[in-house]
Amino acid sequence: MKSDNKWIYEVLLLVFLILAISSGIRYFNNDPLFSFGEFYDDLRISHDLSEGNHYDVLQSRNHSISLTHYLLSLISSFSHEAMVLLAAVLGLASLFLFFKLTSIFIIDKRTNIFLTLLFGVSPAFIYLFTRLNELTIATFLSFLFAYLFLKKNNWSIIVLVLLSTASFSFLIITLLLASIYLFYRMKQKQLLTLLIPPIISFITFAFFHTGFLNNFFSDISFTSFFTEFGAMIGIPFFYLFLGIIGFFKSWRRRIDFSYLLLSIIVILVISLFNPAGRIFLTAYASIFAGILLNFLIDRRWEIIIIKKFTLLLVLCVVLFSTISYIDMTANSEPMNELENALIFLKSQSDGTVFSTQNNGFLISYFSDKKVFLDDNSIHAKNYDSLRQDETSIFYSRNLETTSTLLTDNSIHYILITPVMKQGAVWRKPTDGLLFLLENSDAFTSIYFEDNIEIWEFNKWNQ
Amino acid sequence: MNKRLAVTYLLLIFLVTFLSRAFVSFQTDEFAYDAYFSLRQVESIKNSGLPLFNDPLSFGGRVHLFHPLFYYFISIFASIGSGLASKIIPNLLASTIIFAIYLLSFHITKNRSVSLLSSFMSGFIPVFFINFNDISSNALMIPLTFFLLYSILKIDQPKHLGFALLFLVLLVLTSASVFMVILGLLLFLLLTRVESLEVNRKQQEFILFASFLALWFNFIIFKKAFIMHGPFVIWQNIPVQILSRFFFDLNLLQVTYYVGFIPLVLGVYSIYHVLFKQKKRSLFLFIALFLSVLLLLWLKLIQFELGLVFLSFALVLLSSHTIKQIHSYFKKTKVSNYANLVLVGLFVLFVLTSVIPSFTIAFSSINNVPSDSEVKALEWLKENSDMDAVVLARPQEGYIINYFAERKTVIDYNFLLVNNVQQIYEDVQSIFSLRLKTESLRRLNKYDVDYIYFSGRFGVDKKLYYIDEECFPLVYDDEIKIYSVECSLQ
Repeated sequence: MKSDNKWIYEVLLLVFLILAISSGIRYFNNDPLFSFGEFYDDLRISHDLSEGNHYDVLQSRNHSISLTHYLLSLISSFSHEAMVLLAAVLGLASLFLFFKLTSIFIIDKRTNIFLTLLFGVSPAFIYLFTRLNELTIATFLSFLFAYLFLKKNNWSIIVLVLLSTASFSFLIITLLLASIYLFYRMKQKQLLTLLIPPIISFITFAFFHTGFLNNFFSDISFTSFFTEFGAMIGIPFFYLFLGIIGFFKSWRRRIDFSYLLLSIIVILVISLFNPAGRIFLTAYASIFAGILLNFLIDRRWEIIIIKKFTLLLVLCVVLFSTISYIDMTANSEPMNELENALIFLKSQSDGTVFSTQNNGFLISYFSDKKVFLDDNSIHAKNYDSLRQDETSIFYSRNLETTSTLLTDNSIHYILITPVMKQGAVWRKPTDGLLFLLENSDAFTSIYFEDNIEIWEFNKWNQ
Repeated sequence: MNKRLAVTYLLLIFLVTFLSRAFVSFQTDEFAYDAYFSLRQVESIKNSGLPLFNDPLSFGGRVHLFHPLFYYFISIFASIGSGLASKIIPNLLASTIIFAIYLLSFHITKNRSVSLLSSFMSGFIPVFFINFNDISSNALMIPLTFFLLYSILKIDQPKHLGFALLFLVLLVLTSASVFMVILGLLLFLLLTRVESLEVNRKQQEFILFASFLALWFNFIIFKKAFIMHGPFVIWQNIPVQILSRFFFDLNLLQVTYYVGFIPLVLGVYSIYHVLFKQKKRSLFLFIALFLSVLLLLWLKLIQFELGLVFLSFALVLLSSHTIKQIHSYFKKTKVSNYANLVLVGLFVLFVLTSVIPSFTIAFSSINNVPSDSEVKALEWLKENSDMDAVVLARPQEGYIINYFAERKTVIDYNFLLVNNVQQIYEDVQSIFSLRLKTESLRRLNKYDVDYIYFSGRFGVDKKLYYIDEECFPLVYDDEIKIYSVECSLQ
């Protein structure tokens, strides 16, 4: 039997391989290394920050800056490959801390190995540590704080102060979990010592960085909760399912697991409307799923074949979640084709680009052009009116209406991706704007490759 | 009664059940409107070895999500003709329910006469005759479910463990309704705990595994649908306008008619007897099944007819316990020689209250098939329209247009993975009732409609009001009218 430490190193190695595969697929496909648009906004902010700009000149609004952007600005000269490597190293450090943390609550070493592995191959973990964003840094700091806090190390306060400038959501959740722990251990007196430094640092940071205090609550929906339904930061359905069974299994030993059983209720509620909550929920679900897995292996089965099938099924379920998430990230924008189109757009004269909201960050980053809408526009006061205009432009077949809206919003370019034509926006080639582009002289096609189209609105050339 | 005689009677009951179903089924050459989806799947498997997951005709081209096993099963016998196989095989499969009920009933009562009566009752449950001409996978799923339950009850024997695994895998590959069974099994475990009955560890392990397997497999199959519709997958994305046709409130009178008076009364008494008088572990399984289906029906989470079918069979099994009680009681009295007459009396009562309604329902359901004139019109359409032509018809007629005319339709009754289904349904229905030509044209152009198929069979409108020769020339004029759409709005 190998020693426990040796097992954890093998788990870390396996997780490193999975992180490497996730980024490796994109690397070998010549796609930009980071999937989804958010991280490209972070890169743009950190780039501006390295030049001393807190204001987004392109989008004419304040940048939403956190500690992560300062850290990113320090390594802005790094290549994307180096950033991926750094993220993976941070991931392994976080996973090791997670292992150490759970070892405090769960004495059984095999259970600890299982739950560490489950967390390490979870979609949320893969998302976090294949990039270096606000949540990546906050997760690491949160785990580091928890470990130092439980070991009664005073450095924990410093880490908590850093966390308070990294992510508001993580700060709230971490403080809640730490407070529950203090109440659970009857150490309420320490609460003030715990709360005051991070609150002061948070208020100070938020005062100098408008936009840092973003919305803690987001919409509750299945599509943002479960990764199988397309959630970028979500929980796999079967992690939750295994976790729930594990929870009830742990209920028998509720004295031993009382802190975990108590705190998960808070996490479950927060996870419904907050992505950071869903990261914690994945961690908790991994813990209870690990407990269940250990129980399934240890149980004296009456039917051995059912034991084998059940464990095989659990393995398939976990593999399925991991593989389908890696597949999702590998096939997410930005792909090489879109990058080429946006690099072409960069060479064109300045002007606002119209596309779907989720293409916004990518357009700004790769083409250095202003966009009509991106995911940060949601904080704009006239967001509803912008969305109405967007809908009208997409679906109207009236040239006059569309031209007026494009002119009013100073839109020069229209970017159309294959996904938009395959149901995300339009169903048929004769729908709304597609009809106008094909049948009106008001637009000129300036780029058409790999089914990606860029059209120029001619009004600005007249 | 000796075993050999019981087997003879059982085979006789099977023959009577099968021949009754086949007799009614062969009263018409056609199938129910919904059956033509299944027929296309069977023919696709027969021709290419694969079902039509990517259907170029339904909703103008879409992806179907379904469990393929049942269609494969019928296609094995399709060499005798897809139509003939689709008439015989589902009825044959559905009739096998009597074997499962006999075995379960015998497991409960250890009395062959009572078990034979129960198996006969299961063959003539009125609600099981409602959709018997629609080539539904329920014909395979329902017997499989009860064979699975029997194997679970006897799981201590290695032979039955193998059967249980086999039935489970087949069931998971046949229908998503396996969830109903899983829910029943989990409730069974809960009830045995609550009632402090001995928990069979083998059953517990098997049920845990079955839950994992069913959940995971269905999750993989319906993943896309979950992404698209979220929890509305349960209601199959059926437009709210017609949702109440599939999921509706329980009505005691209706339930009594569809389930049958005898199984209902005796079954409910059995529940009372088992819960409050004599706890019998095997019966808790059927009480759990009954309660879980009742709950799902009450919450409108399963289709009414399917829920009633499960409810009926659970009640038939529970009533076998009551029949045994009655039979045993009479055996202890001074008229013990006439105890079997009680069974005969129950049989006669059952014939009057269930067998006759079963045939009434069955004969009325054979009227719900496309008429010769509809088939003729669709064959004309097949010969006289472009391959890419889009035909607009009522949702009920979608499958027959795909099958007979082999043309694209705007809508049918399979709504899963369809975007904006409410809008499409509303647009299609409004085209049959609108008065304004421009508005109708706008909607027809929206779906690129080339032909309007008007049978007048569904809906209240007996004619299309905006029709004129210029824009909508009548290209087929018989009992069925087919109009060509010649104009478009600029």
